[in-house]
Amino acid sequence: MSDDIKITPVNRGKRPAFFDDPAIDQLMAIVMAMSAEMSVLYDRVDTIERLLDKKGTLSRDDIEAFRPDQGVEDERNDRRNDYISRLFRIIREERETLVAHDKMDEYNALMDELAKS
Amino acid sequence: MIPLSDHSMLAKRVHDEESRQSFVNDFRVHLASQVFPGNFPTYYNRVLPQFIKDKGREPETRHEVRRVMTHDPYYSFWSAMQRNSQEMIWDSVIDSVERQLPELIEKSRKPGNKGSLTLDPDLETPKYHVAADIHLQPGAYHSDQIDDDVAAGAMYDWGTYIYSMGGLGTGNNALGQITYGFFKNEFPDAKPKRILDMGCTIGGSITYWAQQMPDAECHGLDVGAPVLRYGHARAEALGAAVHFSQQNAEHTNFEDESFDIVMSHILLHETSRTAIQNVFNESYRLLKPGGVMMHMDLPQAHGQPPLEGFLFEWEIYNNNEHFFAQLRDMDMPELCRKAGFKDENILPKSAGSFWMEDQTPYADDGFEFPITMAIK
Repeated sequence: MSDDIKITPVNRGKRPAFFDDPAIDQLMAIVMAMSAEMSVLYDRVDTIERLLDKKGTLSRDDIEAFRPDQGVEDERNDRRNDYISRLFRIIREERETLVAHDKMDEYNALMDELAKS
Repeated sequence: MIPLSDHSMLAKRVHDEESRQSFVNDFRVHLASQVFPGNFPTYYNRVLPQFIKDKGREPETRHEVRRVMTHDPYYSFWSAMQRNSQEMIWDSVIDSVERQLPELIEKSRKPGNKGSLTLDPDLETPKYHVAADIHLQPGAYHSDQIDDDVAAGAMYDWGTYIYSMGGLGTGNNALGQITYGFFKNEFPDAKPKRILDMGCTIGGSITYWAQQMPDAECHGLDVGAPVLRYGHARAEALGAAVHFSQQNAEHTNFEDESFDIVMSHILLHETSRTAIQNVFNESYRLLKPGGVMMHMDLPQAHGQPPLEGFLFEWEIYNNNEHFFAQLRDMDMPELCRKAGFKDENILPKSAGSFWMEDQTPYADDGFEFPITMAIK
């Protein structure tokens, strides 16, 4: 039976480290997994709301059988995109700060100076 | 997320699995469109000025850029998220495959009889394939955990689709569409009788070719048994006649001069320095006089500025694409010459998604794959 079959979820190969402290790499993976699960939960709530709207009652089977049509999936896509944007607000801010405080002038001046010397 | 076109071998997803895969897809789209581009201002505003201050010059190579960019906090954070998104792909497909595995194996045991499947349990899986799991797929493409296992193929089907953010087309066959469109354009009157796709995994490309050219005898080979079992059952489910065999592209058991086309789709960068020459030698041996070799792979480093060159290599270091580091600088025409092709018949080309029939939202960014083409 399928209960006996377990696909080993680990991949082979050296794991790269992105931060000086390995705990940050691990925390990052945990935060990402939580983000995914929260999104799954939100979709499930959305399914429940839609079923209740339509039928006023529901069963577990109704939830499992529910499949978003393209219209529902488009709405969920928009919501996920908003959710992901909120989640990574801090990254967007850093990116925007970098563009706003454009050091290209400084860089160009430095290049001019080097060209002259 | 636009789902893959259904076929009877495709693992069905329950409510939460579908939702989880959609999140990973949308997250990757966000990374590609919103976070990745920030690496450019990071470099030009922060990393490059510091480099110039320290060295009095700009970085000359992508390797110099790597040494400084990998210490930048923005790049590191994007990189960590990107790596996690890759592992989350597999995590999001594993449950549905695990649950349906007995059923999928049962279906694959009586797939149909348009094509065929020939396995070789004694075939040695090459070192470059077992050293690290390519693309971080747990167990890679070759691991059998139970008899007649198809799990690697079933995971690959959904996994590569999410990886490409739908860019492989809803039939998961964009690469085949691209080489097919390219071939028809180059040789409009050709009527190939026998076609070989090397390193075909689940046969996405060769199955597409077989659907377009039902009169041709189409073969696909790979070292991985579970992807071939799945690929065969998938091709039959799609009504296509493909002959799958478990072989190493370096040395096959096909006869000399027995194919009109020998091709591969992003196989080369997953081999090794010795293996790649063997693959070209074998391609030459298998081609009939006038036959066409087409090896499609990822862009090389020539002509890429240092920053772009560096960013393009992220998967080498973070997604187990180790040989790609060497392939980036290799002389492809020289490999053809060494294999026996005449200079005037070596024709490096490129082809992109403009050959696809069903363009997907992420396929129209002008990405082009180089094709090392040579005529025997």
